Amino acid sequence: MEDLRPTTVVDDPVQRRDLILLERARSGDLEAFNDLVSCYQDQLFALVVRMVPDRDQASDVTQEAFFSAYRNLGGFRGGSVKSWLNRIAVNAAMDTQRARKRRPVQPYPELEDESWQPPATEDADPVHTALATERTTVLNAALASITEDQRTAIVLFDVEGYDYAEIAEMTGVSLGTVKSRIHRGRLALRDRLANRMELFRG
Amino acid sequence: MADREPDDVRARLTGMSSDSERHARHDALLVAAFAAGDLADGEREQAATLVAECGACRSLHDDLIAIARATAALPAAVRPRDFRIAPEQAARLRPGGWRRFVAAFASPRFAMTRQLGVGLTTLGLAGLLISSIPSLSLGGMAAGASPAPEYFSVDASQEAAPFASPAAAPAASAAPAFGPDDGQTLQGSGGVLLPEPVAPAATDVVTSENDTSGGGGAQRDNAAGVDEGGGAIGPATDQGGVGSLLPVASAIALAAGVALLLARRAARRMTAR
Repeated sequence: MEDLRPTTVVDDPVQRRDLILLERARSGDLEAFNDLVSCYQDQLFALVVRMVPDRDQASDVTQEAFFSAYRNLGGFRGGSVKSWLNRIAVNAAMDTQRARKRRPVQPYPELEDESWQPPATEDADPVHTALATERTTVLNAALASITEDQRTAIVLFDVEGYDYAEIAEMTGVSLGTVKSRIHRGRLALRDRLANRMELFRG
Repeated sequence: MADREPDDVRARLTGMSSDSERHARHDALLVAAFAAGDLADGEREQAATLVAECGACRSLHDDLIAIARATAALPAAVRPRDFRIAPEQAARLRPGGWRRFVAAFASPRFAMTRQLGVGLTTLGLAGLLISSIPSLSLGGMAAGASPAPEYFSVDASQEAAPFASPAAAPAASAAPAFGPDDGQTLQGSGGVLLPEPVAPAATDVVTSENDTSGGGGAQRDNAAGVDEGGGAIGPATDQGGVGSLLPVASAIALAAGVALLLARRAARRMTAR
């Protein structure tokens, strides 16, 4: 079994924790792997549900991503465990999007359902909350209507905060293609939101 | 005053029209790249000029920045369930021993095994089908070499002497070992051992008719059997190399394809949740 410790930076406590858990998981400790799942399941689901806006499908994709990670623990080659998990989730989401394209169904019926949004805090201004909810709804709908490649690039860049190089590596395309997808995707979003731009200005 | 208002309106409309026409020629992608801060010096100046001088480009630039900001601030969706893995799921996901070998077929790395299996199975079936067609057509050729009524008359005579028929094929190869009478009959039939398949068959029919008139049904049947056998074996022997290779290769492809599909199916069942 490959020893990850000498090849990785362990200054970051989170990264050190992840590597220890991963190494224990590789030696057959399921609890260690489930600890990793507990650490990243919220973030991974949030990422996947942006790429696959159908909530049930996103849930399945997230579960499949963790299954895949567990199956391929030997495939981890060092670096960031979080990035590794994200890469697996992105690939699983892209596979689902391709399958969805082959078998078209009703596009994202749950976008109208706002029950899955985080609940507003008690002291929140109702008008502000309503506007924020409306903004989120229309933006999600617009995101769901652009191409999958553009959506993936925008979600990874704007929502997840990855840089162009990381997205290029994750999605297997060139840096220029990533930039182009983000720029074109934003232009497409602006086209779709043209009548609702007052929600975003100011 | 009444005359000036339409002029003003027209002027404004014309101005708007020319503005939108001008903006339509502007590079929106350049503005998007500028809004994202992705441009190098030369292009950045060009885009900055565009944004400064064209109101629509400026509006587009501001909207793109607002959209990017809103996207980054999208609230994270609430996770609907726990994704931790149960021990029984873990056992299926990381099997040990031979199960791990079989389970490898279910991994994405071996995704092409399905296409490969389907392809090999199709090729195998097609090969077997094709290899069966030449034998049919050769059979047709042999039958077509002699006129149908005469062919049937030979069959009818074979039915008349059922005990001779089973010996027909061996007799073909053992023709020289026949007794003197047989040899005469064979010689009389003429061209029994000729390589051409068609001519002997025709000759044989005539001989058969002669033999029929003279009796000796068994010998005649032997002769007919020799000719039919020779006619059928001759072309088959010519194509023997290809004819025997194709079914074997097809059967191997079919077996390999089915084995791949079964292995993948077993692997997927094994790793199914």
